[in-house]
Amino acid sequence: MKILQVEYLHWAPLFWLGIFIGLAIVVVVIGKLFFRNDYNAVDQQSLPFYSGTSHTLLQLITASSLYWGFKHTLDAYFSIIKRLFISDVEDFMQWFIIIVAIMLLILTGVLL
Amino acid sequence: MIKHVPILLVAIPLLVAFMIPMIGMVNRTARTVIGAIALVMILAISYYIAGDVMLHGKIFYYMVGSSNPEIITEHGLTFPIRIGLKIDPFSLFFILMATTLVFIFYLFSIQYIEENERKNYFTVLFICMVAGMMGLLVANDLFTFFVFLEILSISSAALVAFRTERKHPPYAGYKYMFVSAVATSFFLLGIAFLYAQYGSFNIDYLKEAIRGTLLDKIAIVLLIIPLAMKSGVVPMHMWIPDTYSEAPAPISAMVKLGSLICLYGLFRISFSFGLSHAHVSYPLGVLFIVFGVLSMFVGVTQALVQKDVKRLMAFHAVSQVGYMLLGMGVGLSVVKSGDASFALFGKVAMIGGLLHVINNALYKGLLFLTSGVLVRHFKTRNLDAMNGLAHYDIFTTVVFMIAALAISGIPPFNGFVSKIIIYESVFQYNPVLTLIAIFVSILTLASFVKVFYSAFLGMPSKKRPMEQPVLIKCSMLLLAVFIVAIGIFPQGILKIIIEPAVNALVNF
Repeated sequence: MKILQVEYLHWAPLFWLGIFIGLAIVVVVIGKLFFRNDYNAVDQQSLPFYSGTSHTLLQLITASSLYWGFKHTLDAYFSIIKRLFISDVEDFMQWFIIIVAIMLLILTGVLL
Repeated sequence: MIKHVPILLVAIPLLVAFMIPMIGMVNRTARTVIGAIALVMILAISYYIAGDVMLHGKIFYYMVGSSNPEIITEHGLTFPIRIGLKIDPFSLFFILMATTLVFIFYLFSIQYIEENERKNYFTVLFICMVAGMMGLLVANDLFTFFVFLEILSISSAALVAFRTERKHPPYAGYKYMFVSAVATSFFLLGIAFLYAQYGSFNIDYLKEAIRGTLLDKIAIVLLIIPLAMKSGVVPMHMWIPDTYSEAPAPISAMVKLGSLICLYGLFRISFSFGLSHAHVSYPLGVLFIVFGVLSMFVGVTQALVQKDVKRLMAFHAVSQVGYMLLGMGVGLSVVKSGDASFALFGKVAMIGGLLHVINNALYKGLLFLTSGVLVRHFKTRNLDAMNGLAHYDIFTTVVFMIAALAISGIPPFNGFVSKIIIYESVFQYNPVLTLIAIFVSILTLASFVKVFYSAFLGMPSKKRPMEQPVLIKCSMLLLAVFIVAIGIFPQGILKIIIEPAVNALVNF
């Protein structure tokens, strides 16, 4: 088995980099030739356009609101995680002892 | 002169660390420059011997106190001390990584840490930490290893608690010190178990002598679990977010590097003492895989819900350790199985795991440094209170994107290369593990999309950021260049550095 040569993929980064640069040049050339050049940066064209919502509302979507569906679905998992890892020094010690015990039981063959 | 290389790597930073307070009282610029010179010297030494060690397989032995330090037996010792040092391809791989990165982090810290923040103390502790790392990497006996582990831990804890005028850093430093004290105490107990049986601390000797008895197994557990704890392996990881988030950015990056150095110890001891006995190496490898998967999954899911940018990055540090454990665990469990095809993909998995160590050190270092820039600009770690940095600071935006894409395993950055090697080899061990690893990468990308959306996109912030000082930009640029270079030209580093390192570990 050769490293970096998977069955369906040959990793040739220079080739892909060339493709990427080529595409970027094509986009720039097309942009220069065909896109509008009457862009005015001083009026509201410079502001981002958010379809279907106001700017004020959009600013309320903060980092802690992102992926709320994911968090909501995994509420049970996160409550377990919170209970397991309270991040106190006692917690560190407790996990350390538990893992030492498990490792000893497995390596010494008691659990196998 | 070249025969003294192992001790020079430790002695230079140690000596300079003790000189810094005196020089700092006389001239602050001289203090900073001498610190940099010390780091450049160890960087130059490590690269100078790289050709001999990596390409020609030369191993440096050094016995402190011997009339001829290259004689590794006790014959010729002029002092009754036996501090044995050794540099082989595996340790040199970590030495090259550490010397390069500490120099870059030091460059960043020169203009990031203000002079009125007791920079003398900072520089002393920083260089002491480097001495601890170097000592740990060249130690060839367990007691010396323990001593340098303590030096690394104490200086790290002091640096984490560096900003004592604030409420949380001293508490974070205390937590780190507690974890380190517990870890090193058990480590010392493990050393005692081996010394009591075999009468030696020397790792080479113990590797040959160890018989896989019950006491040996207890000793192995007592040696590797503390190192796993110091590396931030789940479920012993909770000190990581507390510690990394409270330390200044270059220190978060340094403590992360320290964790990777502890991972070196974990791999060194597991492979040295476990590999020669299949009834130890197989379960140990499987346990590595289990802890790796746990670390990957728990780390990334906890990261995804964070709104503190540094805690988020700290949880990703935990998650990334999982990939390394996965690769090395597969290697440990199959590389000496006696089946040639098993041994081959086990070795490839180890290559992926080790490459991920250096890749992780690079992009994680860059992410911590960019988080430092974010925190300095927004005066908060809360992502909810950040927005629109990309409107003003294109440089930080671009380097952050490079690091974020690299950690998510997106081509053509370095994270992709190591991850695909791990996916490819682990797939042959168990396809489910590869699926989990890919799923974790997707969650990693989602998490960094969140950071990018919150801190860089959106409406421009009211306050225009100050221009980043040149050394801060240089250090981040250097890391970004390494990330892209390894991503585009991985074969060089794989052939010259990683493969000899893996061979040295397997045939240790």
